[in-house]
Amino acid sequence: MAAVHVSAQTPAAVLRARRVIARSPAAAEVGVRVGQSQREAQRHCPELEIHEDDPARTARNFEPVVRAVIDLAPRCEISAPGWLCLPARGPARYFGGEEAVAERLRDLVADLTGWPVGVGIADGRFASTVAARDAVRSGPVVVPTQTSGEYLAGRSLQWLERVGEIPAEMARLFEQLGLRTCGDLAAMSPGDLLGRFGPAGARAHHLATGRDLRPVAATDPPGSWEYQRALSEPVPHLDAVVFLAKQIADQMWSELSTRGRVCTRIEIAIETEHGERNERSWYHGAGFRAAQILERVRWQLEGWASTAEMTAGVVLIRLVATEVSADSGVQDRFWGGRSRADDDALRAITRLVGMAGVDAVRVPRWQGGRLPDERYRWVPALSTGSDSGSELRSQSRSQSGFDGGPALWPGALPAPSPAVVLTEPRAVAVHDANGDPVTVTGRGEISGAPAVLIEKGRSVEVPCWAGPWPLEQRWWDPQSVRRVARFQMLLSDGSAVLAVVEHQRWWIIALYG
Amino acid sequence: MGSPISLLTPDRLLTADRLLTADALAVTPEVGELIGRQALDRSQWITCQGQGSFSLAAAMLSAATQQGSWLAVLATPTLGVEAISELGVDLGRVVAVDADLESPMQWAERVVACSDGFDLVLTTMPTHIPDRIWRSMSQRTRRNGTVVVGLDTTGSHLTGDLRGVDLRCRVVGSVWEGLGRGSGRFVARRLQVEVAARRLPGVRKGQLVLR
Repeated sequence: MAAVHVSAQTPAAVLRARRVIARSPAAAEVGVRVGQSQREAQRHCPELEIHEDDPARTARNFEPVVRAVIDLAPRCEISAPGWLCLPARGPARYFGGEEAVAERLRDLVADLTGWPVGVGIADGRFASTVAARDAVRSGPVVVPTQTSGEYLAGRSLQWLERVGEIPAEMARLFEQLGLRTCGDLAAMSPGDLLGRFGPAGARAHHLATGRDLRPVAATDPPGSWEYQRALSEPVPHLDAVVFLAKQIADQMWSELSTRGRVCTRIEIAIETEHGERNERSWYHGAGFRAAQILERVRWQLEGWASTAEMTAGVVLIRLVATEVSADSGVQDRFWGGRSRADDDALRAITRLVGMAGVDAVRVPRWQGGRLPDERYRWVPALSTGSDSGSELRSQSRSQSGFDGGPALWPGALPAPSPAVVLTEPRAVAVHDANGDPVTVTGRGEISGAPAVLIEKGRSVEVPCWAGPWPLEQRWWDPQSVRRVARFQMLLSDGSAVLAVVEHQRWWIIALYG
Repeated sequence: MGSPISLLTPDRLLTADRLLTADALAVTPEVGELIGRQALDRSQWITCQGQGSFSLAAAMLSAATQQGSWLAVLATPTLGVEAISELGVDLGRVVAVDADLESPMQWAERVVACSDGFDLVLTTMPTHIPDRIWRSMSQRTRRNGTVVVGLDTTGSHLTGDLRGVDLRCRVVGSVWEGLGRGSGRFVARRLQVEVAARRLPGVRKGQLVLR
């Protein structure tokens, strides 16, 4: 385990949100698997040593490895702490063959850290990653040239999801269509996949063939996508540096995305006041969003700060997009748990509907109006037979008009809105200082200032209030015409209420709870 | 470029899975200040109590919904949709679910069902929850990695009970701005909140300004 130092004989696992995300070889032997819940894993292995996951720690532990590998082969790209990728040709020529490089890399890391490390060489990134996974146990795997497709052919499509950055949703869909292995997928025509699944489908095909050296439609950036931020004062705190990098990361992402591009390889350079410099190249085949760029900045900083080399505050941060590709518009869903979250939510909704009935599970829909209880309507979540999380989401979005935010109807009270909207209005009486009921005329004039509010015989003072704000609803329809006057009141017991008078009767319709 | 080499330590496995299941859930800096942590850890139970607890709960969960987490609003039909949207909750990821608070058993089942697919659950708490039900339910929501926020509107016995609530928030006062005697309107409010964390002694006092 890169992050946690345990001896190879100790069964240990790293957990996130109570699920196993990595395990030691000893744990693997007794049946602990990635994806298991903590309880399940402990059933297989009661003496399992449990560690919580910490990406910063991983980044720190991985830094010496990155350094050593860069000494050997400078064109090395980090995909994530624990995973890096480099072109084999140069080093292979130098060390005399691909096997020799692979062994050399393995020994290098093993000498440095003692970890069982996997080195895989293949025609494409995806195939080499799969090979590296195999190699953790078997020793370096070199897939002969032009045979990566065959090497992958028998692999389950789950590999695509796990290391190939394909949304879980799509992997499941492929499975429902009877496509079980990478070979099945690779045998299809890329055009069909593009037509049916869009760019993500084409990408999946590309990965499955094992020849994905670069993302589909990747181009080296014309001109420079270079953003830098010089700091007038050296900044010693890593959090602050990441925060300062946010601005340029946002800028880079938004300028690229307005041109329909997304960055797939980025070079991050950091310089300190003493002139020390740290430069790393990061790769993400599905494209970096701003938050992911920042994550890389943080990892890089964590790694660098763990060495003795960084002796002063940071004065310069520079981001250079060294490879961009066409933005297929679905990158958002690839990482960061979105598609999985949407998926999970939809499954839960379906189960809840089965449990509680269609009408008991609802999503909000904007319908406009001037009183809190009319502005939104809850509609059954599954009413329109939506069959995917994204559709469900877009349904509640577009139909409720959130794209630009629901417009405030003239005459509606401005924000803040009451957080508690009563389903049954509460009948109350409001008296002025003399104990007379407060009435409102048709012209919106009140008979006296509200001083006491009485509900079920209990009276509370009204120290602050405002109103009346008259409202005539549906004046064109004599059947449903409704004339009310609204008041906001702060009561002496601390509650804040929205009250209305209708036909000289007072009601509390909402609370600012 | 020749064939690439992937160098892979076992940690790589965790990387792919980690990024797919989002980290701890985001909170706004203001809420972070209040609870003393810049994120909501998964698998937490939080209770909110007092006048203003609805707004407090919505403010706590808003940033996470914007980052892609779904929110189930259970057994709370009176929650003002517009208000939570103003507090930053992404309504595109909100689902309301009915439950009968008179039946703690049914309520608990639905809490668990919600926690199975939603990162966030906001629910009104029944006035009485038998210990046995509470234990099995909270264990299961924890295992699902869900953050559950319970609205304790009655301010009942829940303060002492329910072992294992990680964060108890109580609104002890709220100051409104903007409303006068016959003039103005509600503009902003300052909630005074006491936060007690399990395993940490003492009570953290803070303020949250909502506008």
